[in-house]
Amino acid sequence: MSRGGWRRRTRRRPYRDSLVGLALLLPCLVVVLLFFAYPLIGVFVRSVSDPAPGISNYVEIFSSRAFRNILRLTVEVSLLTTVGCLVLGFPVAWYITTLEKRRAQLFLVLSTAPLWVAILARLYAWTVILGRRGLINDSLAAMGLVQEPLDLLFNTRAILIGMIHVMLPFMILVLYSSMSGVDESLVESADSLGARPRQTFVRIYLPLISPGLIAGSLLVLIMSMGFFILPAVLGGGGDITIPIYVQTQIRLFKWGIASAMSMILLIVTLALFALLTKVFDPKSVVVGGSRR
Amino acid sequence: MRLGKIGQRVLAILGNTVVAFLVLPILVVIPLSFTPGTVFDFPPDGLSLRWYQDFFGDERWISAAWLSIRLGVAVAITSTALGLLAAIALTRYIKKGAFLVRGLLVAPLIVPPIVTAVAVFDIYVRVGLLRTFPGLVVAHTILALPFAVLLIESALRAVDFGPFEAALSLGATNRRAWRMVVLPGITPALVASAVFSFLISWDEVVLVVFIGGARSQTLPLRMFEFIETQIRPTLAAVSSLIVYVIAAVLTIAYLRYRRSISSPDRT
Repeated sequence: MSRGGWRRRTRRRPYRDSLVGLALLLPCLVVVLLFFAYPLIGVFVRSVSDPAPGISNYVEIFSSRAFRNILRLTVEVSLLTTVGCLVLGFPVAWYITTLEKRRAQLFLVLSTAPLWVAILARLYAWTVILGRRGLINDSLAAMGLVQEPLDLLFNTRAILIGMIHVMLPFMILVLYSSMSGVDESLVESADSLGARPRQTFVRIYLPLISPGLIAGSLLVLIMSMGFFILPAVLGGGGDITIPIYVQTQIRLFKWGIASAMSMILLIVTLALFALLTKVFDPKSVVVGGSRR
Repeated sequence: MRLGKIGQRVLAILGNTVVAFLVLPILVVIPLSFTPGTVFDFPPDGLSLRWYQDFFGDERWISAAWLSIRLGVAVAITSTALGLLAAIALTRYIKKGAFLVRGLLVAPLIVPPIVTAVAVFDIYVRVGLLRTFPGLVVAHTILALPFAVLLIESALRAVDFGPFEAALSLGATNRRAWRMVVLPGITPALVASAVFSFLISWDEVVLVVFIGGARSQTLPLRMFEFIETQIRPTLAAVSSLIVYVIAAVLTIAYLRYRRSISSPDRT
């Protein structure tokens, strides 16, 4: 890579270069500042000024029991999704690292294929499977196992199943790239030095892949908290998560409380994201993956 | 790390089961899309294409799909064009503040979609972009830009600018040097950015729920409203059509990839 040429040029005309740079950035900046950053600041302002100036919206959120339930449900569902994805994603990612290259590629394609299918098609499939006249209830009834159809859809459990199904591919990708970056010679030398398999796993393998475990978990957690469509489709009337609540309040033009809820969600997301960048440099995923 | 023989077998069973959990539920819509009745009957009493006819015969479905395609193409073009300009600026012209600019452009990736939706809805009400095609293009471009900028910027950083400078010093115009030397190196990234941007727009629901509406109903929005109000399996036909396209694309991509990794081994 030789960039010496243009470095010389920039040194010669630094003023002109930054003008050109700014001109090139202008369209992007206009769009993102005007239609994203500026109204986002507006949301914050609304949260502390509507209906009255002050932090009354936030006080209300944290003092009312109904609001605390919304927060708790959102966090609970997101945490359970994360755990579910870890438990299910771990064996898959590990299994793929033990396969020869072609089969590994096939499994990677299969486990990430759902990501390419429109989210609503995936959710619709779950309503078909879990519905009162759906696949599971029909089969159970045909086998004579149940008299009344089970209520599998429109509840928190349905949300959880859907969330895990939607998030799992991300977890598998992160875990796989972290596991395939492990230097096998470390594992082998532990083996040859007489470590039992469990010791090798706990003392050598787990520490080596722990950044991937943490990053995958944080990624899934962050995305789960912001999910709106999924709980709206698979959840029941009582399953109000933060995003669902925000939407219903906007529909009722209660901007203040909706903005405050949005801000809480945003702050938690940003805090988790800061943590993510601390424990995990996104570039190392690429490097780890290509080393194999 | 490989396991012993039994461990490996357990791992294989677990791995295959979980992958089946990922893939099979999506395929459920296919048999349903061919049933003659309105609910899932298994085994089905006969095959029927009525739900596909329902989709192709309904003006609202077709116009929603057509809107989504146009929107996706528009977003692919704008986000890739804007992303290219920004990436050029970030790699070759901006030194100070590049970090900040990149942070700003990538932020929509991190901010929860519902929060972005509230913000965009708010500004659109005020400037009159609500339920308009340009409004949808701008909103989706904001979501697609992070991918466009990151993809194109990393491709530009990998380009060797030596030949570019050589072309310039040998008398090529700036534009010609870009077209002949730099462009071929970043074409794959431009294509990837366009495809990604299209897919992001194609599958975006949250913002559209807020800023779309009766006259600007995209396919995902129509699916969302349909799923909430109807039980007709027309959605099974729509979902199946989506699955067919994705399966075809992934199969072709996988086969091409297989050929590309197997051919160097033989020589």
